[in-house]
Amino acid sequence: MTTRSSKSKEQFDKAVDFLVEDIAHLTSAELEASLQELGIDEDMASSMVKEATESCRRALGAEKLARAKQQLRESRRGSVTAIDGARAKAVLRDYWQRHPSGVPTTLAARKGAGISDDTALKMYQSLVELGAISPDEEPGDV
Amino acid sequence: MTDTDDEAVYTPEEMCAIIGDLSKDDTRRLALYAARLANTLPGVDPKDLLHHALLKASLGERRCPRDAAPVTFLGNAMRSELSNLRRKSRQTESIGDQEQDFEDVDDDSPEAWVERMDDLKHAMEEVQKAFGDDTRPMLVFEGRAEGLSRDEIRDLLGLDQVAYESLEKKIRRFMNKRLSEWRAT
Repeated sequence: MTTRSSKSKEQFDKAVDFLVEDIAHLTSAELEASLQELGIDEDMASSMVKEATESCRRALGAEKLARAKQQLRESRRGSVTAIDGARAKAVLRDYWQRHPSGVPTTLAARKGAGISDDTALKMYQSLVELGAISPDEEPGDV
Repeated sequence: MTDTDDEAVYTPEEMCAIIGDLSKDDTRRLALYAARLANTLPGVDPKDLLHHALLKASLGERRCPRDAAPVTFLGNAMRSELSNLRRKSRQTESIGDQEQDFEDVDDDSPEAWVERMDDLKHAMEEVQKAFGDDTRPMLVFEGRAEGLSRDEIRDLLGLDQVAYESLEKKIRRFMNKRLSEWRAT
């Protein structure tokens, strides 16, 4: 069975090649006639290619957008790791003063008390990723 | 891919520009590739074939050599997409009727390839009827599927170049038409 089947796959591939191998050399008139024989007129052929081109363009746009978002996330992440806990706390304190209701937390935390450097860095990173603060932001920036 | 290899192929941007500026005949060629290829396998949509081939070329997942005709390259890309699309199509069918599990769908199974080749042979048997007692069309089709060259088959049949090419043209035309009628029903 395996021999017959692998032979069948090879035969199928070669038979399909046989069915399309003339296309590259067909004249305008032959192309038109060949399409018509398959029930495809000029408008159908051109709209088939146009639709595929447009859906391809949309997919390319989505791909580019996803890549740009990914790059942005990575660049923000890179900036976050470059700062230390003390600076993260200072930026957070500043942010909370400017946006008192923006992040629910305790008054003590808003003054930077009781927050470890690690927690401050995580909160800072989340706010950067949300776009609430810029990775270039210095304490005191408005 | 090395820099030298990169120079030997179109960039994705160049390929996008080529696709966006196809001539009328090249548009016809692409449509014909898509239609004929899709007809060889039930369940494959020619538009999907085209979409996937154009997308992979535009993204640079398939790179067209500069010394190749882009439309022929895209035709070959569609040719390579056939099996992938068939697999996806059958998985979608499975979800639709909810009677088959994904695991049940083995599109690359030995049985599947035997079935597909039998399908083409069956179409060729019907085409052969149009030629009456002249058994050469079946011999040409089987010979090409076996991997014999045109010259080898031509010598076997004792045909000159013109007569052989004319015969191949007829077989191809009848086969593509027959397959198209099958898929339409």
